[in-house]
Amino acid sequence: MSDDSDYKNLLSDLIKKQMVMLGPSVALAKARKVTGLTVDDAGQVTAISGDPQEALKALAGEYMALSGQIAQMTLDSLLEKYPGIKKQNS
Amino acid sequence: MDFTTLSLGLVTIIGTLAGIAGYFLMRRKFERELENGRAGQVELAQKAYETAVLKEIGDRIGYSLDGAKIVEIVSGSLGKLLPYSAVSYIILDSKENKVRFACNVSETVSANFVREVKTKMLAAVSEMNQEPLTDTGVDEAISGAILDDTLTDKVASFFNLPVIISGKLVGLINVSSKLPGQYGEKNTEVLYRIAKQASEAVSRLQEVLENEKGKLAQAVDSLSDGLLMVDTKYQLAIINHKLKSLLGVGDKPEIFDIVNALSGQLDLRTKMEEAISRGEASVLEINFKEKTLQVFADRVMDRENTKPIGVVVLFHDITDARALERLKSDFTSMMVHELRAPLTSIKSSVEILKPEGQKSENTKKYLGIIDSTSQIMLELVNDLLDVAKLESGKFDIVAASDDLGAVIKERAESFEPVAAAKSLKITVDIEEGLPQGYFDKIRTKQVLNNLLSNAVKYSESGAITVSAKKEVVNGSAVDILVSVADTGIGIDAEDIPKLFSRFGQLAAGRKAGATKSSGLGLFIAKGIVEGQGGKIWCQSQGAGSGSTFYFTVPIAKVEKRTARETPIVFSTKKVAQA
Repeated sequence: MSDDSDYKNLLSDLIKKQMVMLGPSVALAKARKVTGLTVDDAGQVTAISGDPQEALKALAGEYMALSGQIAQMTLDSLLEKYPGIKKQNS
Repeated sequence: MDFTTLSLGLVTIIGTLAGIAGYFLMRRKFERELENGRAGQVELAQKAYETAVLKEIGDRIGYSLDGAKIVEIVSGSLGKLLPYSAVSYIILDSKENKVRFACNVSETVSANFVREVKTKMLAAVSEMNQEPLTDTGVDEAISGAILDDTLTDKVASFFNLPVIISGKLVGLINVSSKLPGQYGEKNTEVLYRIAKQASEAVSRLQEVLENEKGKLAQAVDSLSDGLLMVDTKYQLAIINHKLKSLLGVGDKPEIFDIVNALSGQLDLRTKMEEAISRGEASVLEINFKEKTLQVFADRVMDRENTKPIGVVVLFHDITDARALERLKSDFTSMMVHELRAPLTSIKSSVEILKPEGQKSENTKKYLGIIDSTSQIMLELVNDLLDVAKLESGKFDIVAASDDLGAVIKERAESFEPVAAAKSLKITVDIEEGLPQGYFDKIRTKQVLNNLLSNAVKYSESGAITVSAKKEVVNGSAVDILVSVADTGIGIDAEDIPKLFSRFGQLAAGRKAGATKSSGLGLFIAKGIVEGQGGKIWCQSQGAGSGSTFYFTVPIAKVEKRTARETPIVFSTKKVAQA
């Protein structure tokens, strides 16, 4: 089991990496489309309402729609830092 | 003012107000519809533009499998899709191990602006590939508007578009502006869609290609011969397992490893260059690490534009075949020698017994049978010996200048008695002033014997004509053409190619009473004629129409006759292998 802060950190890391990869505006727009996520302009997730696993799944889906396997690889490498969080299936 | 008047006034006011409100409501509704219509029109125009751009990109990409080309095409097709100061791309060329950065500036910006774009893109690529990509060694090309270093504009907004083929990042497109907030989800969506569609299409094509390549690689790998293929830059494209083990070059060799492994035995590089430039397949035999290899090199052509796209080289291990050939040849030679001695002895003994007068008719008859059959056996054995020599390259032709006409006349005369016994007339027609030929007298007699004996054997009536004349090409004599024409059983057109092969005696010939011969005569004749530098062939109008055998003999050159005191010896190895 993992607590909310792990999810917040993981989601924030993912968004920040995507901001570098895709550009801040596109990465933030995609993150803000995800229901239940509150994201500041620096890409930090400030709040998660609802199931964080669902939010992670939805966010990963958004980024994978743009950069496919590369987004998956980024997420996989981040997940290694958070062993308590369930891995997303591509 | 009474109540009725007041009520009427109030109703009028309310009615008027309602009318006014209704007017404004209707007007607002109409305006909203108009706005929606306008927005719809703009959206429709945008969609039409997007579709046009997508189609243009699709047409330009076609069936290209080149990720770099897709990156270039997409970045060059942005047009009016969205505002930007510069469009840049990075191409990761894994084949050449190079990184290319190109920036097309559409609004004047500073060099710092371009540098900032590049830095952002390198950071993005590093993040995507999860390994750092530095500025060092990156090729750079900047085009478009002039850079102005007095400007201080920074990259205020940007987005990156990765182009991924088969899960691998092949390039990154960057759209940057000096104005903030230029790129949102809405106006970038179409580009991501375009890049994704193009990437997916190419990935699918590549997958198909990889599958086919996989099948081909499997087939090539299972070959019992060694095989390699290079492109026109001599980069190794294919090498199979057999060749790697044959040359002992490890699992992932470079072309230099192969060239080095073969050095001293084969100049592979030159061989491949010749194959590409000349377009002729070449075959040669090399000895490599106690093995004998037959090497075939041929160029590979593009089916569409018939340009060479590479060279394929096949290494066929013939060590065992050569060893077997040697064994067979040695065995045949030995057996033939062993058979010849007792046969000669039998024949000599018969010759000694023959003159004694007090023999019964039966004894004379049987001695005659022994004499003729031992003669036939001796001829068969000699034929076998000649073939063994031809095949092992030990059949020597001792050529010298000589009078071919005299040889022909002498041979024709020797066949006159047997021809007369069958009521056949032999005519000799030697062209006047026939030049000296350059040939092996004994072996050429053997050729003439074979042709004349066949002509007599397969003719029951008519005539045999032996001719010799100069063969003239472009006004000058190139060689002497000899022909032996008969009026015998003839040969069907489809049987002619079989005539000069080993044991190529035709069924018709066997029926006509040639069972006593080995069927090797014409094969040996071919070896002799070709060994002398001539050629031999046959023409016939078909069964029952007679046949004519031709062969050529080189004309002796004056300097050859005077300068050389000893005859020249030619090996027939090449002929025997043909």
